Amino acid sequence: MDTNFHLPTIVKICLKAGALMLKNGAETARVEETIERIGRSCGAHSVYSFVTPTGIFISVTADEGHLTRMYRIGEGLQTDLTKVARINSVSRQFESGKITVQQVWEQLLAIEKAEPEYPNWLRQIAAALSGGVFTLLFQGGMGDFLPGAFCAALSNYLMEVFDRRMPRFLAVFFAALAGTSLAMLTVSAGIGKNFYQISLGALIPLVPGLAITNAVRDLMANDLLSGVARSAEAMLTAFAIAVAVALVFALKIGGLLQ
Amino acid sequence: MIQPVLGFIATIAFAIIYNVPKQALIPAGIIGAGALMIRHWAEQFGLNPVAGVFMGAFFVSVSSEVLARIQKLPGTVFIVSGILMLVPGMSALNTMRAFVQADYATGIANATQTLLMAGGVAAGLVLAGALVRMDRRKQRVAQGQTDD
Repeated sequence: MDTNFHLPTIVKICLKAGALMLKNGAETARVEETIERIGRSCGAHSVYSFVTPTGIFISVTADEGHLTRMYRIGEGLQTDLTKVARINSVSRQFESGKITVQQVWEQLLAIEKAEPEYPNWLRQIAAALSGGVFTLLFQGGMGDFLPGAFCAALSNYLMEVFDRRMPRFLAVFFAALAGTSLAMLTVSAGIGKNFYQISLGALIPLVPGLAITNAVRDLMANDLLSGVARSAEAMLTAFAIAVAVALVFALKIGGLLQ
Repeated sequence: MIQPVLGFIATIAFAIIYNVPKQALIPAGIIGAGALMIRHWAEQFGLNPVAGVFMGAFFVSVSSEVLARIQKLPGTVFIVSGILMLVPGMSALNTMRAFVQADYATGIANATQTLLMAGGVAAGLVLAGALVRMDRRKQRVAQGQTDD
């Protein structure tokens, strides 16, 4: 174990690794564990970290003294679990002494700059496929596959476009509104048959799956603040979808658009 | 027989949306298909849907933690896409439909069902996760921190 690293360097590496993991969809306990692992492997006496979905606080003690920093996590995150897995394995390699601090830093920068694991077009196709398959899973007819897939592709694409320009909940609201409206139009036009199954397909890419999973795992790991924050995120997203759906259902049932 | 195939495809599609590592795609798909089948069988067996999703989530969590150790990947990688097979989407849609039609009694009944199912998924995750992580937790607590 090499202990000749300056305190600011240790803190810098810990923060970079933690922020990258958090932005790409890791749960709180994993981020804290990685920060602690990297810091201790750099020779720090103690590493305390406090990670929330919106910011990281760390406090490191080494021979030179003591340093505390914080890092604010902004909006507009993209989930990339491959990056989480790569940082996780970098921190383990470092702990077991297979790579140097310099290599850790270079690998972190490389991971930060790396393109997502799958190209954008493939993720759009996957979103469409998930929507189409879900119409079938919930007893829709074969004719509902294509409308479901198309609506899902639309709502997924719109969510990504809006997410950069407005709060997450509004983006989901407008995406759900567009997806369900299109579902209604396809049924009115006679392209699809089962309105509810197609709506379900349209909405499935918007379901906050990662937020729910991480909220449950955070609460389970006693990270109460993060757990409650992520539950709130999931609840608000679900609520945004519900309001959009209610709006379109009201139009449909009110007979405005048959 | 078509159900597990659909579950497999849908899970892999979600895994691609979340950028799950390539080596985890097929295992994640199998976990998703398994979760769907457990939910399906439980309902055929006459169990409450809440029990069905609970058992599905328990399966997803346990098999994900096991695979995470084998492939040396974070458990989340397998869990997030598999768990989406259990989300009570149709039940949530029926809730909104009933409320919009001003059928509040049916709406409340559906809403309760949806919430219970969401709770069932969470409970399945929590229980399995707590069991699998017990050894690791003990280690971390014992290790402690040297303060100075």
